[in-house]
Amino acid sequence: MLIESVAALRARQAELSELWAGLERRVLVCAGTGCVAGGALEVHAALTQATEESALDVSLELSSCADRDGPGGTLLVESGCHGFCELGPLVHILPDDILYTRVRPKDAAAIVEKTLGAGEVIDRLLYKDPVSKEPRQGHGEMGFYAHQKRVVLARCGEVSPASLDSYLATGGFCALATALDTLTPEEVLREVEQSGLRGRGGGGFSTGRKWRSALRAREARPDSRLHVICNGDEGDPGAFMDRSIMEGDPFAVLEGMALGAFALGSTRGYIYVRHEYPLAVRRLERAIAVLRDAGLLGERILGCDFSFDLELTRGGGAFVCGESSALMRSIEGKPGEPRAKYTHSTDRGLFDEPTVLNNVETWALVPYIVDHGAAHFAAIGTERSPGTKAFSLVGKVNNTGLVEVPMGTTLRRIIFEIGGGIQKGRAFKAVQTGGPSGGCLPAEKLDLPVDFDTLTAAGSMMGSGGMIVMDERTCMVDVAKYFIDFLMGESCGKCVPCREGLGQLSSLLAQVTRGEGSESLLSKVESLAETMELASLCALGRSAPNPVLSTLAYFRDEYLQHIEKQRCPAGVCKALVTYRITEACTGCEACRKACPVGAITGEKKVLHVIDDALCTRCGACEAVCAFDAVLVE
Amino acid sequence: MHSMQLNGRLVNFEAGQTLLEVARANEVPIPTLCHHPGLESHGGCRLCVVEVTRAEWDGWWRMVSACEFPAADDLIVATESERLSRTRRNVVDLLLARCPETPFTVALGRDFGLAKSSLAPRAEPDDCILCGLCVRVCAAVGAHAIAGADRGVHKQVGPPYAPPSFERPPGLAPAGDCIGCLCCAEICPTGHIRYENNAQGREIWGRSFRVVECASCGAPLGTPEQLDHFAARSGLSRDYFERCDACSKLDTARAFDQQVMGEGTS
Ligand SMILES: Cc1cc2nc3c(=O)[nH]c(=O)nc-3n(C[C@H](O)[C@H](O)[C@H](O)COP(=O)(O)O)c2cc1C
Ligand code: SF4
Ligand code: SF4
Ligand code: SF4
Ligand code: FES
Repeated sequence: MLIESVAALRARQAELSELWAGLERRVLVCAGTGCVAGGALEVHAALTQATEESALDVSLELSSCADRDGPGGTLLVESGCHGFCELGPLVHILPDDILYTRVRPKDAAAIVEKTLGAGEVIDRLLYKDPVSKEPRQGHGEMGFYAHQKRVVLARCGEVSPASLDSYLATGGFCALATALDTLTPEEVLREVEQSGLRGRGGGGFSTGRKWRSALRAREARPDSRLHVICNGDEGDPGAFMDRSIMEGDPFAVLEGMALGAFALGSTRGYIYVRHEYPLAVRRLERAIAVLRDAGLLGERILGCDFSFDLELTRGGGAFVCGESSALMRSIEGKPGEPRAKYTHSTDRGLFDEPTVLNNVETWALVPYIVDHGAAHFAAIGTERSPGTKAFSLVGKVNNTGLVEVPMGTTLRRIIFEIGGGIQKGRAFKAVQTGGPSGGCLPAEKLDLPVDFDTLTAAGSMMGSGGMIVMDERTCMVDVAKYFIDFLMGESCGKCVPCREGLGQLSSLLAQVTRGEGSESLLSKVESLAETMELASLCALGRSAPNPVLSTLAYFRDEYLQHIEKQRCPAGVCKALVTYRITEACTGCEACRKACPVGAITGEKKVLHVIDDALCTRCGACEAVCAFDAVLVE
Repeated sequence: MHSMQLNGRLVNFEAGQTLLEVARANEVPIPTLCHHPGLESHGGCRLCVVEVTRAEWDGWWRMVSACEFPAADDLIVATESERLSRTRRNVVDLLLARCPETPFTVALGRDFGLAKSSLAPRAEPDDCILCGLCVRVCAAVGAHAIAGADRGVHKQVGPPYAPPSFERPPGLAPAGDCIGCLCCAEICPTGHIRYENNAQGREIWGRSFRVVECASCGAPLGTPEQLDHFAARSGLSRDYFERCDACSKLDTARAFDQQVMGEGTS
């Protein structure tokens, strides 16, 4: 439906907000990648069918909630990611705040009849607290949600990402409407500058400053165009913040880019989405088509003197394509290799013209800033890192998932209150932040506030917001080797320090995990790391030694134990551990049956024995033993 | 006129020059490997690193590749330091570990005081240091027949998109666009790119070419593909390329003489 003017947009927003406010209930079936894999679409279909068969007033679209008699009714939709992917498929019922976890299609009838019909809570579908085992009814009772502040993720899990109506009903495009009828481009730019927003994609560079330099560069070259690009490449293993935003609130990303284009006088934008994100690609493509139909993208947006259109490009499939110069080359149709950035891409970027590249989360925050004002945004978080930050919290915590907190929240709060502490009551050992080339921080650093500068000063970095929690059974040498090997596979291979350096670091670390080498091996590692940091062509190589340097800084003793005592204290490095069965063995025979090489002997109810010569250290026995009788040392 | 500081000396430069060009103009040596004055900069070897800073940077500095970094007013550049030597030596050490037997890298190692690499040699080494000169010269020739394939430690240069030999229809050569000009082999500093000129013609990148001879003197001229390519690129007549350089110069001189002087030279 074409919206012809700013006034028409405002009228539509008012109408839809009223419908939204009048809803009696919203049933949100999470349709993020995790829940869809778990069968969320089938759950949605089963709920739809069950409601149709019931006498309840349930609609599948906001606009059709209007012509029912009586106020509101219930809106049943597929939403973006709720964040608590671990326990999906999730169904959230509002305003009752009932969160059902691990829902299956056969639960639909009960949910419709009991909860929607009679207002009863179905206990067996509730989340159980990992420590107390008590059921928790909804977000309000769960530490995972209670300590979060959702700004950029506010709509993820709250609305249907396919519905422009829901976006408009919840304040969407208010910012663009204001920009078009009351603000000048300069005022929008100044708002972003004054908000103190820093890029969420890695470096934490000031967004306002970046926009300003691109604008200046364009003014200096009046014949050139200015391009805006959204970086949705998100290649960090285990990270899914940007994916969730693109899937769960695609209109916000697009509105942010439109606002940027308005401020900067750009008419062309590109969204570069990681190849492995088919759902994000589909939702964004759909959203772009919907906005074109609505007259919110394209020529003369809302009848105003502002034209802007967008194209989606699918990523080249390599991690390094997320690096800005490689990404721009890739959009140009060239191989995704980085170039030296001695001339900033704000000056000569895409097609050698002034370019603003921002991360998904950065763009999605722009409407919020323009809408609420720079001062409001700057008041959240810390002085030098204002706002909130989304993280994907994974690893050995009880609650893994997508979280958003004000900048300056401590690591401890994120890991222990939101994450619910370490699985199986084990001890915390380290948290890795900043993606593959980030760093590992030990327990002493748990009270550090999470912001750009503090993490960097501690030898790690914010990166795009990956957070991997490790417990006492993690070997830090093994972790460093894991990330170095990842980067070794992802280095583009153009420059010597990164390409050859990563290969050498990997083989040096492999020596440590085998208990070989000496202290001089560690100085070799440090010397190579320095060369890579100083001389590599792009930020991948320059930051690649971080995993080794940070583990060496905080866990040097663990390296030395490997080298000097041929011991892996965490019992991970296969060449350095032995498996032994202790007195706790009840002779249940489980391990004997589990051992794939027949290294375990023993009769029923008699202490079992492992033949060390046959044992391949696969860990199968330890995994099956119910009595913790298999000792790894 | 622009000026900057180079190793403590004030030097002038022209807009658009790189630090390497300014240094060479002032006879300040900077080691390079992947740079070639006639080709686009690559920035791959990182041997040409130098340190740059500015008075207002408050002691902050950065290491950059001189072959790419644009000279700028009031820049302060150092081409030698303890740290730079260490870095360059490590880069050479890494290359020597990559190509432990290659005469070129062995000699390079010696220049940097390394009798052999202190690092683990590559398991199955070849002679390629991935300087990218061959790829760039081939692109400059306009053939675009070779490129970097794969990434990281597995990166290689060669003809892209070549189907495996047993899947290849007869007649389709592995280096599909190669015109057999040998530019890549001639520019390669390590001799990694093998080729052969023999009685049948020429072989490179697993492909055989005929070699045509100069229409006047009979000296070997090049491959027919090469001559077609140059004719098409230059827009000149193919006939122009039928003769070797020496003969066509002679022809031109004769024609000139005949026209202008009205008599032949013999
Ligand atoms: C190897 C490498 C990979 C990167 N991958 C991403 C990515 O996936 N997403 C992203 O937004 N930024 C990524 N970056 C950072 C970008 O280069 C760029 O700084 C960022 O997109 C700028 O946006 P921002 O200012 O909004 O953070 C990567 C950087 C490097 C060096
Ligand atoms: S640092 Fe690594 S990823 Fe970057 S250009 Fe060099 S080889 Fe490629
Ligand atoms: S011989 Fe072939 S590959 Fe080498 S430069 Fe000439 S055209 Fe390119
Ligand atoms: S083949 Fe020769 S010219 Fe080409 S990249 Fe390798 S070393 Fe350089
Ligand atoms: S000569 Fe400058 S990077 Fe190779």
